[in-house]
Amino acid sequence: MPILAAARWPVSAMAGQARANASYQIAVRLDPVTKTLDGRETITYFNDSPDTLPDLWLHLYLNAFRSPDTHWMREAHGASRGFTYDPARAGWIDVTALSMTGGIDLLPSSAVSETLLHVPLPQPLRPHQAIRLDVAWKAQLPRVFARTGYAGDFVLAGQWYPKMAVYDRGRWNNIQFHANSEFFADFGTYDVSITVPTTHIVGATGTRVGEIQNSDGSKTYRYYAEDVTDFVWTSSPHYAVADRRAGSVDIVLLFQPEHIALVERYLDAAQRALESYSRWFGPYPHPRLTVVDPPDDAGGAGGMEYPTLITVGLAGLPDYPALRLPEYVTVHELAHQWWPMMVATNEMTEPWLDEGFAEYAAARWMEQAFGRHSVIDTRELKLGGLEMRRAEYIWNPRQVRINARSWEMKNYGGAAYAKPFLVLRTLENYLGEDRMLALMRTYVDRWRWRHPRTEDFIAVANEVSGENLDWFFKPLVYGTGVVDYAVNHASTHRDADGYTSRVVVTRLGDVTLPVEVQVDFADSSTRLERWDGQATQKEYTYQTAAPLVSALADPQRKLAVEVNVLDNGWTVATAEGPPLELSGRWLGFVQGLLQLMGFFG
Amino acid sequence: MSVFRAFGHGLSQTFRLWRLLLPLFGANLIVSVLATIPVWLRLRALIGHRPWATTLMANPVEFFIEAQGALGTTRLVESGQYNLNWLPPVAIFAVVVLLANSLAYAWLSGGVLESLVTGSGSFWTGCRRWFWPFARLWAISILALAITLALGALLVSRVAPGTPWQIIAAAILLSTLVLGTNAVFEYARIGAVVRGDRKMLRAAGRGYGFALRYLPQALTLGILLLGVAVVLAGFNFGVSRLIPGSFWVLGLVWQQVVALIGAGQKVFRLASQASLFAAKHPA
Repeated sequence: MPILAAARWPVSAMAGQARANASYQIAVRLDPVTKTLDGRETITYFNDSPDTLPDLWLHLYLNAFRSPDTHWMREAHGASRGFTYDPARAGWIDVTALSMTGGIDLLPSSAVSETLLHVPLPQPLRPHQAIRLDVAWKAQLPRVFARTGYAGDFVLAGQWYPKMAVYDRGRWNNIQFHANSEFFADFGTYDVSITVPTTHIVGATGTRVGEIQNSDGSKTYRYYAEDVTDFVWTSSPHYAVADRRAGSVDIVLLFQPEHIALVERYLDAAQRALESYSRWFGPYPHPRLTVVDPPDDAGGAGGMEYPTLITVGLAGLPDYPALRLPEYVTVHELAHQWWPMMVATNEMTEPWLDEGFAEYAAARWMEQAFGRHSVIDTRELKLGGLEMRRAEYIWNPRQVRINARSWEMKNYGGAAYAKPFLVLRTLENYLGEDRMLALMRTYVDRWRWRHPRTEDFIAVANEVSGENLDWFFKPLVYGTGVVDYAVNHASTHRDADGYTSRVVVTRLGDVTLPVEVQVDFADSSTRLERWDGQATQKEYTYQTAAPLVSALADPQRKLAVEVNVLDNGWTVATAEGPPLELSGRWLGFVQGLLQLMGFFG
Repeated sequence: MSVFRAFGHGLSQTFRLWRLLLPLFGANLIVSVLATIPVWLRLRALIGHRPWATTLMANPVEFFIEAQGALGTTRLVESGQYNLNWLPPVAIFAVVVLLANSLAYAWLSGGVLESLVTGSGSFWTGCRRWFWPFARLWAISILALAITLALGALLVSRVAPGTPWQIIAAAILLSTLVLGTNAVFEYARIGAVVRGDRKMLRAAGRGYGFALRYLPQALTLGILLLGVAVVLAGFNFGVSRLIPGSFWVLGLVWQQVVALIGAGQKVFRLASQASLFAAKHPA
């Protein structure tokens, strides 16, 4: 009987901390010349839903790169992360055999639709039953493109095997692989044997549990991982290896020898951020973290997260300490070990729940490690994580809706990364650091090894904060309204009782968040007003002994999501210094330009 | 006279006649200040009452400011509620500034060359004598440059550079055409003063003729002078990096030193080229 009885299931289904819905035993061989993969796998799928399933769905992600006509290619216009698709070096995956273990051949009745494989079952899979599938396939890795592929001898095999789709809350997540989309998968255990040339150095999800030297000059490495939603591996004869320990976690860096100047920076960032994240959000649950630094001609493989393995790498970047993109990429990808590797949200339909959260964690760590100008801190240019993401959001804020499917977003960076980070930062400023961290920890605790959605996070936020935060989340997560305040009038005049001063604060945006207004007087006294922002305008008048100097809305910049802060303040007197300073710089520019023009003739 | 002797002679003349730098520098400063006053008034109105903006705009500039400025522009364009009434006066003002700059140079270069070539000629007499001829020569040079660049652009478009190296090669080609045309018209000015010839079409032809006939020498001298310019630019950049951002007045002073050095380079170039020209074509 190929469908397994429920009574025999729970022991193996709970091998790790997560319920193992989809577990894989895989053997794969890399052809180092053609960059093809020959693979066989046994998938053990456990139906833990209350529904009876008449069919199964599997993802064949590599088929996104089969031709220029796929959903993915059409949406990406044949380019990703600065790399252009090469049709001569396409990627694809063909399932060559599919059967229920020891039983019925399912291949004839199954149907491939681009990146999806539909498998009708001869008999439905009832709740709490499991099924084992034997699958054989052949895959061609593409020239490194969109997180997977090869470049010379380097291989990063991501999304390389037939993989179960998720059945969640009454429906299959049978969505084609789209550009601007990542993945969604159930937890499981992976027992994977990878055969590569002996000269190759291999890194992969999980822990290496064995290796065998084969008679044909190849070597087979066996890896085992529990509580993971995916399995990635990489191999190259050119890797150098460095390692570090963070508590009980081994951090292994596979790097290109020519990038040796960046090794300590990658390792420092990974170690310190892993310790911080474990303290802030809950412990990292695996014994090992592998960090992969791809070669310069494989930049499309860099900056990606997989369970227990992240890729970094910034092609050709010099070791310039004031430019902290190596650290930034490392800690962003590392944060994904919490979202979505532990809290396994749907990256396809709600990308903000992993990218936005990773961005929030990364920016938080970067600021604590390097201060306000955490990303770039040169003499000429300063850039912090907050401003970097603001720049991405404020271009078209009224088109940025966070809670949208990834392939329908008009500004993917703004909606999946930037605005979610700004919203979470604004929430932290509203709740305070302690309550925010309590919220994040509770969310991770509550939803670890499961598939939460936006409403589940909001429910935890309401619970931990002790208040209904719908007024905050509804417009900012589900809407496209903007937050914007301005002080457009501040005046003072002398009268018989001293000075009468008037300040007018205006709400220019359609989202109403409470805002503080700082009012300064010439005798160094200060008033801090708190306005609920409900009306479109608020006027304050003061009768004081000293004249008014200035008024400033949101003086501590708690409203990180505000679109324009340049108009937040007004001084009664004209400040002469800054216009003069900027004019002086303009003068120098014009002098140089005119000399250049005068140079001619 | 060898190229290197012309180079050395030009350098010694520049130091000996250093006073020639001052009118060039002064004219540059006056025109630049005129171009800066409207900017200062506008900035004062825009940010004089905005403490948040002025704090953030303090040196060094944050990337944030640029993004916010871009946002404002984008919003304005998207809203369609902008008017372009300011554009014609700004464009006219820019043309006036550029014209004033060119005419100032047409005026002063006659004096500079008269002093360099004759050694004892009156600077101001030279200015008056050569102003109108050099203004005409400037107009001819603009026309010649436009034709040269158009031909260069046509050539580049035929090759259709696609790779980074091809783009770099195209940029080098176009820059060389600009520098070459500039050198030709500098030799034209020099030739006019040496010969006392006020016919500017003939002077332009003489410039081209000299540059082509003595191409190796003219090219070598041009490369030497370009090398000096690059070294000085590196020096200027290095010193400006040493000045703390908060010392903006000191930065402004250094800008003036840089402008003075720029005027010196101009005199040095003319003096070296005049030496080479005089050696090949004695008056």
